[in-house]
Amino acid sequence: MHLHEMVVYITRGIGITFKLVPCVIVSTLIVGMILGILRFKNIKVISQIIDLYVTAIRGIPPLVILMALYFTVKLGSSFMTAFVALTIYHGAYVTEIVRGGLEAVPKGQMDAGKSLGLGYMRIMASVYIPQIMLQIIPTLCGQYILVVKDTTLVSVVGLQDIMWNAKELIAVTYDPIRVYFIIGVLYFVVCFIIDLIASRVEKSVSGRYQAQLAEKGAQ
Amino acid sequence: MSEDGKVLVEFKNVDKRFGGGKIIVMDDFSFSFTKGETHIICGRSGAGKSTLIRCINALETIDKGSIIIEGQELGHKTMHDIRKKVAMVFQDFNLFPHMSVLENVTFGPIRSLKKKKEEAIESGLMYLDRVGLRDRADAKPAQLSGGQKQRVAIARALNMHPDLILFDEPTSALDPEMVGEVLNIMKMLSEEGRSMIVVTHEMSFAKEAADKISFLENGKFIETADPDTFFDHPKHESVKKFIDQVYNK
Ligand SMILES: Nc1ncnc2c1ncn2[C@@H]1O[C@H](COP(=O)(O)OP(=O)(O)O)[C@@H](O)[C@H]1O
Ligand SMILES: [Mg+2]
Repeated sequence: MHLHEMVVYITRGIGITFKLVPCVIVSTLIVGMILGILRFKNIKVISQIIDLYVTAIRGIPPLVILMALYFTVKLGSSFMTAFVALTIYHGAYVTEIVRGGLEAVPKGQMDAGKSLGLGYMRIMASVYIPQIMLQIIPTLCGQYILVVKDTTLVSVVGLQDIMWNAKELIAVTYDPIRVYFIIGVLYFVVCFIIDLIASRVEKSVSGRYQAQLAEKGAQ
Repeated sequence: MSEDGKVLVEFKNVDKRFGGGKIIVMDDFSFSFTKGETHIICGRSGAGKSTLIRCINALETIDKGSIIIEGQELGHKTMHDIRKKVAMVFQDFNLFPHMSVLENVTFGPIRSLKKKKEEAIESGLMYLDRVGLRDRADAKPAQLSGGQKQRVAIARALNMHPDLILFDEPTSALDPEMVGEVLNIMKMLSEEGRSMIVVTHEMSFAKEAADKISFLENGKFIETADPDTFFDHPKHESVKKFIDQVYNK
């Protein structure tokens, strides 16, 4: 088998990654926004529950969550199982990223919002979230690179992704070195692109920040 | 103004402490504020001036007693309504950095008072004009000087059409050359007969604009007087000392 044939064969499985990753990005963003905002409000019981979730997830490998879901909850399809598992896992990290962003906003912003008579959710939506969005994008991209990498796990629940195809290919070619080399390059390219986006954003954010500092200095 | 003389804010036996009870901010504190007045609060750093005025729009909660604003007791249910009537100007401006000057000024009226956008913009521009910043309506706060930022914050407060404006050391974060532009606007508002509670140590403002000055210490107003009496014949030794230290350097 020629190298390019192998690449084509393996890459067919990348469709799953390209379907899964955007779904997980959206779902973790929703989970992270909601839980991050709730956690930031500092209501005792709710905060404790969210902290428990985040701490638990930190100590559990994603593969374990994937297997646990696969064997306990019937979610209809392998795709759903993978999607839910990755959402639960990475949602915890995005929650922390969102909360960290919210904590970094000066407290006076909340005071100002409240004294205009605005409710908590309105202040979050119009004052906090727009201010943290640019700041957290680089960190989010870092997390989403991990999401991309974790899609290599989903073949264990029967999803025919790259890894699935790779195993099939190895069974025919007996050439694991080249197969895994190809996979490594493919993933590297995808992650590199996300990294590129992240550093672009980071530069533009810090550029703006520098500009603001310069203006302040010039006063 | 026929309604002057009406009590706008009343503190009844209010207790407020921090640090597990060790830091006393208000101790069986009672105080009433009359509509149309400019009431200045001063006191040493850490005396609790900020906490006191932040209680008026429920940015802080009290431990005991009650605060009544325009006949409504401040509480969980009334707090949003009361905040719509009580505007606040902060020491460090707290403008929304991602919004333009005009958006800062219209955000509250549109989102909180549910005013029509055009209406909020029209009155917003009018107030920006009054603080001399109509031509900066499209600028971002980061492009303004400290004095300009505080003037925008005042316009933001005014555009809420508040019954009372709270000022917490509005000139303390400003470079000296910018203090005047902010105080002039505050004097103008005071002359219009607006109700204002102001934490400040600016003597020129106190003398020209204040109806009353109070000195907060150990959880109480230990002295309340008109500006002349306050500065020239303070009764309490600690007020005398404070005036000497702060004003007669
Ligand atoms: N959120 C808080 N938690 C604990 N202590 C506080 C808090 N806010 C203020 N304090 C304390 O209460 C006292 C009064 O503070 P503040 O009202 O800011 O005084 P002032 O404005 O007169 O300088 C200070 O000792 C301050 O450290
Ligand atoms: Mg203070």
